[in-house]
Amino acid sequence: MSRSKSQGQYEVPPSHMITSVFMEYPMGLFMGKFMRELKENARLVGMVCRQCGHTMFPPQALCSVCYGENFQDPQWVEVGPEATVAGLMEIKMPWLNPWTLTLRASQYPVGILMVDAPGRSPGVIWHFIAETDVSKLRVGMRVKAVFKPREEREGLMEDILYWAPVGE
Amino acid sequence: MKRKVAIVGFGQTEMVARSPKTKMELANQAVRRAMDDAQITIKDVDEVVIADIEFFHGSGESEMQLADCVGHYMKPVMKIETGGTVSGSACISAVHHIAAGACDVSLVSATGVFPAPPPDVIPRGAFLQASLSAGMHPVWEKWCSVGAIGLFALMANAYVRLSGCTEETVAKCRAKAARNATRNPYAHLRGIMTVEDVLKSPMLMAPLRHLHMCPITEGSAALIFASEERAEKITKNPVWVKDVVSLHGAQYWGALHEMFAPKERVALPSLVKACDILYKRNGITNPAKELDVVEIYEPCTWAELVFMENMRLCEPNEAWKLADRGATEIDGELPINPSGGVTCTNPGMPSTMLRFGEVALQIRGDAGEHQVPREVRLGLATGFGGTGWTPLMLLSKYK
Repeated sequence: MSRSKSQGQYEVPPSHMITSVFMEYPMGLFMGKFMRELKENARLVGMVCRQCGHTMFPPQALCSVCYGENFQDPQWVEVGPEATVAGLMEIKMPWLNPWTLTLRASQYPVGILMVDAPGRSPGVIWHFIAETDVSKLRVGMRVKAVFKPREEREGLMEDILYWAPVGE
Repeated sequence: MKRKVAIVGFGQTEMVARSPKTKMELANQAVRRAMDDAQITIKDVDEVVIADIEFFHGSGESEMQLADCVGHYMKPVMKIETGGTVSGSACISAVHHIAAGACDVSLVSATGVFPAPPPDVIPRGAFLQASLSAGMHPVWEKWCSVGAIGLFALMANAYVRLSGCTEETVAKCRAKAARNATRNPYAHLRGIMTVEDVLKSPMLMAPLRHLHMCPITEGSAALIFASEERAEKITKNPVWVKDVVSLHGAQYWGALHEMFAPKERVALPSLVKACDILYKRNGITNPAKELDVVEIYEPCTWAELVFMENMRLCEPNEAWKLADRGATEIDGELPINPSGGVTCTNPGMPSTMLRFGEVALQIRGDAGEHQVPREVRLGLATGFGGTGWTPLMLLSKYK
């Protein structure tokens, strides 16, 4: 701030604004079905593009690879619940839960996971991995989704508690 | 391009962590410096293109707030918002307007100011990472809010695994950026940084350390483009825009398998393809030899190495060896980021424009202490942003 003083200006406190409002986002037709299946049946569903066979996880009407349209008669498939770890984030910095704007207490690493899918490509998701000792984790290892109990699921990605390593 | 286009003016503010100035005041300072550089006034400007990511500032319709300070009163103005690439997109847009004959002089302005909760309520870094995540899908990816740090930690992890790059080399590369920034009077982090300092800095997400990552910077930049006829009247040293390319990635970060979960080499697909297009169109067969200077948008030190490979400046998985023997130093065989780059200064919105402007300064020979000690005829600048987007600008001393 010495710079501003040398320019003949004075440091003044910034203005404050409190913006805490609840926002409601539409879930959409395709993501809506994904969330309903997750919340009600603890099942992961995606879509396989009718044009090129690319796995769309999360499900959507348009294929990100070939731009094929999948509005009519979408090809719903069950994906997972097992996946292969493709990358790892071992989080050592403060980070936020954007739903509550509070600092996260989670010690779980976040993995980028290639979820088993019947299409020509895997489904890709990032999520928590249950093992906090990252020296026990490696790229290529298999994990399986663990869901919260039915009464605690609320239609969010956190309805998946984490992905637990499966025995090798 | 139908008509030739040149850069005729470049201005930037001193880059700082927190500026006492408003976004409008900063924008004005950079615009006036760009006009001083070009020796023109706002009367000579035909149109204004504004680059902004409004939610970072917590206010909307910034083209209204900026009108008086940037100077588009009674002039055509368009605003572009494309994430981290935004000022690159805006510059490329201005180039297109001039090349198409829609105008002769175009002013591009971009300003980064990041209001946030007081640091004792939410740490500034964590808040900004969550803000960055605001661009992600509200349900699918945003909940994780690991921001750019998470993505680049994934990438760095893969790069170590595939290339065998050592922590020492990355630290050396970071120290190189810091050394260059000490010579750039506008850079944000201008302290000498030793390899030791980098190796000792806190781990954010292994293998990505605090000092590997770019800072949160506030400041503004402005670039002025002109048609051939006007450029030659305005300045003796126009810097010619040889070519521009802009390519986007897919919707989800998770879709960038080649970057975050690669099998053989780490690749940002849009950068690889954009360079293929640009090199082919301009007859560049050996970019490492033909380019005299390169400014890479490296959100972290690891990205500088990966992007070098993606730009075919060396073989895949070899960039760290090049950096290790000092080839990318300011006086090396291929100077990369003589300005200090994004790891020393990242005001977000203007960051891609700073890459373009810095290459222009190098070509003009006006980079001062961080001037590359050789004749700079051809330079390439890159941008980076969500979701894996690449804007490129190839600049030349000669028409």
